This record gives sequence, structure tokens and C-alpha cells, in this order.
Amino acid sequence: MFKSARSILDDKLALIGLSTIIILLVIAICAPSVSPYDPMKINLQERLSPPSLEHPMGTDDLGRDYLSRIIYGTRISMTAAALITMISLIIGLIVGTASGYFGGIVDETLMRIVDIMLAFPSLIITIAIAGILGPTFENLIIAMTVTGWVGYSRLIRSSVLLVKEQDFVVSSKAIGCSDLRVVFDHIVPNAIAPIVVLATLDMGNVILGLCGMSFLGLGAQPPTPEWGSMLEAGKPFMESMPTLMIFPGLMIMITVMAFNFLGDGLRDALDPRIKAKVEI
Amino acid sequence: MADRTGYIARQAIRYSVSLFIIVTLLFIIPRMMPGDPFISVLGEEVYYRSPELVAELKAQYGLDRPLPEQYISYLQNLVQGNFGYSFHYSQPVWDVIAYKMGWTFVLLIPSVILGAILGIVLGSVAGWRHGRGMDTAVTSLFLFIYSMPHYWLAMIFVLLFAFYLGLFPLSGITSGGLAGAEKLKDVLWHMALPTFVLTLFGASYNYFIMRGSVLQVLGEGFVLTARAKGLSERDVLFRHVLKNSLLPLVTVIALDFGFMVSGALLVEIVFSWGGMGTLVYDAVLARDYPLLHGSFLVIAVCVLAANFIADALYAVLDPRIRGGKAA
Repeated sequence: MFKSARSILDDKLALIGLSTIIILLVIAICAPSVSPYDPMKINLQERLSPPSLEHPMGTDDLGRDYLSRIIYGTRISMTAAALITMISLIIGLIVGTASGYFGGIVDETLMRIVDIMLAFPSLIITIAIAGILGPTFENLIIAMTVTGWVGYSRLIRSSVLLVKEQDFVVSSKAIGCSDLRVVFDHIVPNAIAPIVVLATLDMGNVILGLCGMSFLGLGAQPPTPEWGSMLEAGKPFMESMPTLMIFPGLMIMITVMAFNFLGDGLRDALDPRIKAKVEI
Repeated sequence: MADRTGYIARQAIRYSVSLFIIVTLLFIIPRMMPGDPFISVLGEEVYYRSPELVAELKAQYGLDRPLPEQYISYLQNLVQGNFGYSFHYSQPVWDVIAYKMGWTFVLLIPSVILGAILGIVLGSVAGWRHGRGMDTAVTSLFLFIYSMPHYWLAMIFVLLFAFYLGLFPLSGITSGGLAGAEKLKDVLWHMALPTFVLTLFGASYNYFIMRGSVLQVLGEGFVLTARAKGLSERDVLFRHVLKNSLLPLVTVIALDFGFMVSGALLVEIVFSWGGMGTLVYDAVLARDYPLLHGSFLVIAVCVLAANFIADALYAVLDPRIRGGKAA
């Protein structure tokens, strides 16, 4: 564990990613005290003002302070992405271990379902579910979880298959440990490293997906300061006030990149077998 | 040879089963979802005021019959190529989809091909010369592109190239009112920006896989042997490294298809490009079930076909696969 912490510190990109994520988390948690104004307060006298000392990112078409909205957007995106990743991981863990551990008909059925899910571009399924359930942020989170668990279940299944036949698992079965105990005490801890890597890399993709769907109008609805819906709201003012569309996009990019950097670094540190490293 | 055919046949059966299950799910899921599509077709007022009309319409679409009976006629219709009638467009679903699909392919096919070429070429050069200036520059650039929302880059391009510089049109497929060569030129001009955005995303995806693959192969023993035999660097690169690095990319490009379909969807919306992306989006908003159903089925068939081709190609290219290891 110590060794992996050291290699993370040696990896400049991963370190940049980690510090960015910490900063974003602090911003997200302290949003009310960090943001200079109320993100929802409409001030029609100051609508569409360019960046200034008073409003570092300017104001939007309703005169709301854009910096404050961006800051609150951090909170919304991070919470939603963490929630989706967590629920997907738990479902994937259950399906993957059941599939790998029990094998046979259970495995065959679950993996066919996974195959079918993989046949569709996940964005299309998400649009269908979010569209049919109704365009709210909660429904979007449900829709993204429905498509999100598939990758985890495959990964966890293959990790389980890898350790299942090893001596320590066979011996714990021989001394009469229950299936649940074998799974949670012996199999899951050995599969945790690749899962952490996937979850970190996935956080970036989930944020991209969330903002994309809100941009389509199928996620967070207008007064909510969410980056994707802010981009959508800024689109008509692209010509007169391009900053309205540049800042939310920039925040999405920075956040996604930070998770990608950290995920790559973690993969190198935790799993020396994979050398698909992006190094500069 | 027999092995290879057997393997491909097994895969074909597997994919047919998946397709059948998808067809069945597409039958079941809309019937479980809340909300009656007839509310949005007729409007709430008519829907609640004249239940006889609703019943009549349901009878006309066969929605009043028991489910197993509906399922059988559903399968019969599909086999006959009858995808139903779109409420929203007042046209047979198949006609709408065939038209829109054409426009999506106009955008997708050049982007997938150009993206693959760009990714493979740049990825192999960067892997081969890793750590040098060019590798650092291109890798950083693609890291940025990879983390950007597609539609945001599309918007920035529209702002820069269409609005400020006025080099390309803001949106749409054609300016209208043109024919023949003029029209072709006009369409090419309109598709330049969306194709460029999608190509960049396809390239960034392929770039990292190709670069990683080359780096991995470079570490293999046979590369050392090839060098020890005194082969020129060129021969080592083309005959040993690239030949082995390209293999994983065959599957990736096929799987890319799904990734690019999703990407195309959002980019299509930014550019108001009337393809499948805008079609699915409109169908969801209008709750046009026959149209949604047809679109999903067509997309699923395309993605499954791409995966099947990848599997088959893989079997032809990699002799190790043929044995019995069905992925």
C-alpha cells in the first residue's frame, strides 16, 4: 500500500489529477461560503454583463452571478456522479460475484443480459429511460445507473474467476466457510484494485454523460445551476456572450480530465501488469 | 479452415440469439412503462373526454388484444419488414428511419474511417518515438480532446469557424434549392465541421489504444530478436511491431461504432443535422413509440453487426482465436 502511495506521488499527472479533485471537492462542500452571490438570485438590471471584478465570470441572461452558479454546479455534478458510480458499483459487485462464483446457468443468464446491454450505445438507453420516465434529474440518475453497472459486473466477474480456483479460496471453502464469507472475505478484497481504477475513470465518463443529458434537456432543469443545462441556456447567447458557454464546458473538461489522470495513475500504481500508461 | 468456419458459425448463432432477445425486450419494455402514448397523440382533453375514440384507436393498432397474440403479430410484422406507423411524422416508421439513417451514415462513416486512420498513424508514431517532443505534444492534445464534451467542442468550432471566421455554415444539412454537383458541394461544406469534430473524437480514442498497444509490443522479446538479427528500424516497425499492434484495434474500431453513434447524436443536435440523433431525441419527446422502437431496433442491429464483423475478422486475422475460446 505504501509502495502504491509512493508511485502515485511520483506520477506527476496523477498528482495533478488528485489535487484538482481535492480542490473541486472542497469547492463542492463549501459552496455556500465560497460563492460570492446567491446562484439563484435574479437581477435583471445586470443581465449579460461581461466578466468584471464584481462578477469574475460575468452574469447570465437573468443577471445571476455566473461564478456562483459554476461553484454550485460543482456540488451538483460531483454528488450526482458519486451517487451513480456508487450504486452502479454495488449492483455490478452483486451481479459480477454471483455470476463468477456460482457459474453455470446463473452465469450464463446474467452474462447474456450484460451482452444485450452492451449491444446498445449506453447513451441511447439512457435517453430512452430518462425520456420515458420524464425529464428530471432524479430520473436521469436512475437511467444512468441502469446502464452503469454493466462494466463493473464484467470486470468483477473476471476478477472472481481469477481468484476462485486459488488455494486460499479452496481452503476456506474446505474449512466450511459460508459462500457469503468466502465472497466478502477472500474474493472481493482481491478484486478491489481494478474496481477502484474503473470507478475513478468512470467518474469522468459519468460527469460527461450527466452534463450531456442535461444539455439535451433530459436532466437538470433550468433554474438548477448544473453545468450541462447552463451550457444549454448559454447557447442562444453564444454570439453576444460566449463566456456563458465557455466556462461550464471548461469546468466539465477540467473535472473529467482530473478523474482520468488520477484513474490512469491508480492503474499504474495498483496494477503493474497493465502498462497501457499515458505518460508524458 | 473448418475451425474458422465453425467459430464464425457459433458466433453467428450467439448474435442471432441476442438479437431475438432484444426484439422481445423491445416488445415488453414499452408496454411496462408508465404513461399512455395516446395521451400525447390525441392531447389530454380528447383523451379523457372520448374514451370510445381511444378504444377504437387501440383496436386499430391491435393494442386491445391479449399480449401473446400481440407478440405473435409483432414478430410477423417484423419479418415482413413492417415497422409500424409513426404518430409524429405520419409516415411509415421504416421510411422515416431509412431517410434519417442515411444522413447519420453520411456523417459517421467518414468520421469513423478518418478517425481510425488518424488515430492509428499518430498513435503508432507516438508509441514508436515515445517520450520525444512529438509524442508529448500529440498526447497532451488528445488528452484534452478525450476529456471534453463532444458537443462543447462542436459549439466552440461553430463559434470560431462559422461565426467569427464565417468559413462554414452555422447548422443544417443543405442551404436548399440546389441540385446536382452544386448540392453535393453544399452538403460537403455543411458536413465539414461536424465530421471534423467526430473525427477528432474517434482519433483520440484510437490514438491511446494504438499507442499503448505499440508500447506493449515494443517490450516483447521478438522485437529484441528482430533488432538483434540486424533488421533495419523500418523493418522492425512495419513487419514486427505494427503487425502485432493493429490486432486489438480491429475490435476497437467496430466497438467504436456504438461510441460514435452516441457522439454523433449530441453533435447532430448542435449542428441541427437531421439524422438518427435528432430523430431519437424527437421521438422520445413526442413519445412516438413505433418510431422509438424502430430506431432502437435499427441501432441494435447495426451495433450487433459491427461486433459480429469484428469477431469474424479477428478469427481470420488471429490464428490463436480459432481454437475454441469464444470470448
